[in-house]
Amino acid sequence: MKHLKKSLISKYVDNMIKDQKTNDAIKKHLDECVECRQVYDSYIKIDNFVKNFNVDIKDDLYLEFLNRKINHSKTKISTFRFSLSFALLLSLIFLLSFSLTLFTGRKNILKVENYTQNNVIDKSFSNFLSDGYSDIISTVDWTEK
Amino acid sequence: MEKNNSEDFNLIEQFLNGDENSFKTLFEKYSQRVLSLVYSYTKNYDDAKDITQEIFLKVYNSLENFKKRSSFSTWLYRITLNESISFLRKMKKEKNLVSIDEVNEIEIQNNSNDQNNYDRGLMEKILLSLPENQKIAFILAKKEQLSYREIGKIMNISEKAVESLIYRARENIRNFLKNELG
Repeated sequence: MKHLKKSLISKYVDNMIKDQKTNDAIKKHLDECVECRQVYDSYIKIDNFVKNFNVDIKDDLYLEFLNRKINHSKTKISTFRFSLSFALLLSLIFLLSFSLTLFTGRKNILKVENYTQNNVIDKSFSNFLSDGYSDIISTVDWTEK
Repeated sequence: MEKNNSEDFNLIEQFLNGDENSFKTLFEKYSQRVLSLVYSYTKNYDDAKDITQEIFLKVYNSLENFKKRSSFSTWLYRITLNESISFLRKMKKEKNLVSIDEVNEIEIQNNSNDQNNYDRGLMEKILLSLPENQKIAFILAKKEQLSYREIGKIMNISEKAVESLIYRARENIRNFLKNELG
């Protein structure tokens, strides 16, 4: 006698064979073939074994869940507070450094202005007294015409 | 199944409208199933409990994003699988940090549990012997009574692949029992 494929028996156990004729043929074969019947029975046994597998809950899971939820929201709030204060601190540092830069920058500008004013006057005066200028001046006819 | 779905959808709707008790009903309906599924990954009650609570916290915070394209159970089991897998990954990384003494301790604890409850021990042994995919497909099919299609959706694989995983799981368990019980 030809035996059924074990994968087909597995599908049959799960009621996943849609075709009624095939279902009937398998059922008939299982009634007649001892070997295939043994495979079928062992599959059913295994299924019952897994169906009855349960993890006993020893604690009040929902109560523990509620506690965790509360802790989670507390952590969320403290994380929010921390990020908020961190952002405030950062913006304070930024403002402080910005105003410092502005202040020192203005001071420097004044310094540069003073320096350039003095130096330019000095330089133009010394240029005026230099030899080159004297030569040019000497060529000018100062007499009134 | 359809009735179950609409019941869940109603509870979700009520929860989103501010009724916290609806979430409690959902929790009580599914926590045992989720815990069993997670336990098959962790093989440790405390870890399973911890992950189960994390899963429900995730569900609690993201129920408003649930689009109702699938049933609630499919969505929940998908989160369960993802969380369990990420736990296993984390454990694998930490595994190298466990000392030999600690491993011996764990083994002694397991042995004492086996002596107290043989069937439970045998069941755990069988679950341990199965590859992850086979184990999950089989548990979802038998314990949760889900169809191949639903399992495929949860595990992101085809119906044909589910069929093959369940068949291989059955065969592995059969061979395991043959070797154990003679």
